[in-house]
Amino acid sequence: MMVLTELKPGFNAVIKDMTLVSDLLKKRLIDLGIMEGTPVSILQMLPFGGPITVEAAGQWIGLRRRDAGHIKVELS
Amino acid sequence: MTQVALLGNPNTGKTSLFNRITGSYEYVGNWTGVTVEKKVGVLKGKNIQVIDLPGVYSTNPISKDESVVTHFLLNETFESILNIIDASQFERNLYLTFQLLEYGKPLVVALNMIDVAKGRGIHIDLDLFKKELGVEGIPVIARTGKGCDRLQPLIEQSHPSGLKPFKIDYGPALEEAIEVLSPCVPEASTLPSRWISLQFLEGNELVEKLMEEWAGKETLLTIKQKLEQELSDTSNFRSLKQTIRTIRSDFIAGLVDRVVTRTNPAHTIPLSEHIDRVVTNKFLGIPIFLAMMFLILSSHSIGWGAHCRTFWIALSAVL
Repeated sequence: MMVLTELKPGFNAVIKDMTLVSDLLKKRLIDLGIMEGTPVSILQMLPFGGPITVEAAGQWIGLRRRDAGHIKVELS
Repeated sequence: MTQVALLGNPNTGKTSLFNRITGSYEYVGNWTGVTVEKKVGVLKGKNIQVIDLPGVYSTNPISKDESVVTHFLLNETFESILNIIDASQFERNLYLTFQLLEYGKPLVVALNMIDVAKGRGIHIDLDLFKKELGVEGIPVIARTGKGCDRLQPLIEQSHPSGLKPFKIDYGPALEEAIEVLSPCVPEASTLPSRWISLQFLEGNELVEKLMEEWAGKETLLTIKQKLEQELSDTSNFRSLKQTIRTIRSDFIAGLVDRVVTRTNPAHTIPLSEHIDRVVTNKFLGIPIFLAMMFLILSSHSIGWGAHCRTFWIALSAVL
């Protein structure tokens, strides 16, 4: 198990655990169909600790790196 | 006057559609308590008011401006709903549609950006869509107005009598809780008890408050805890919200499987994606942004010195 920020662009993973994610963000992600069991991949990581672009549930989403670091994933 | 609520996800073309079908605003005001615009217009040539609501992904709000929609559904009187969805993001948009179907008011679905969906190889069988959901789905392109004329007669005649009641089976434990919760909704209220019960279980704060007034905190807590207890025995239970979301999503995925046929997308990458690739590039992004700002500022006819000062002030404000 690793966190989303450790995933290299181009690899596919599945979200395993979102218990550390803040309630507000978790609610929004669930509204967008992103939760435990959803496949994700990283499209882009911006330098200097900037946000990351994630592809999940057919959408591109920008996440703060800190928030993304709270999402645990597993390679698939 | 009959009132129609215009609802949909953010960025699905709600306002474009609104402008197409109404022509102009009757009035623009604010929703009470929030600085969110309330726009009301009259359907072209008809005696029907259209109310433009903020875009939401779900009827369970996470912010003040989103709660405008829930507040509207709980407190305002209106006759029917016009639900606009982005056909190119069909599956995600259906989540709100399902919640609105649970709400039970007559509903018409406008499938916007049907051209973009086709370009991505998404073809939607609208006859099957109608059969499965019991509501009409009309393809439109709000940007150009294509198909919008087909909406008007449907909005006019959408009466509850012609509607097949929409219901998802949430499984024995949840269904039992819904059955216990439903009678909490007073008969005098015209609110749909099934939708209220589900929103309560999903943790919709506005609905929670209402339910507490009706049934008391204690009773509700017992029902919720009993349900959570029952569900926690099943594998990987995390929260009621997540359980309900998963069941709904599974139904939506099933529906999408039956209704949508996918062909190979036209192998052209949209222009916006090309532009995105350049302007959000790791290394080029920020220099391009700075250059753009410089250009914008130099287009103002101010002296060179003032120009540079403005640039640095603006830059420091941004950083």
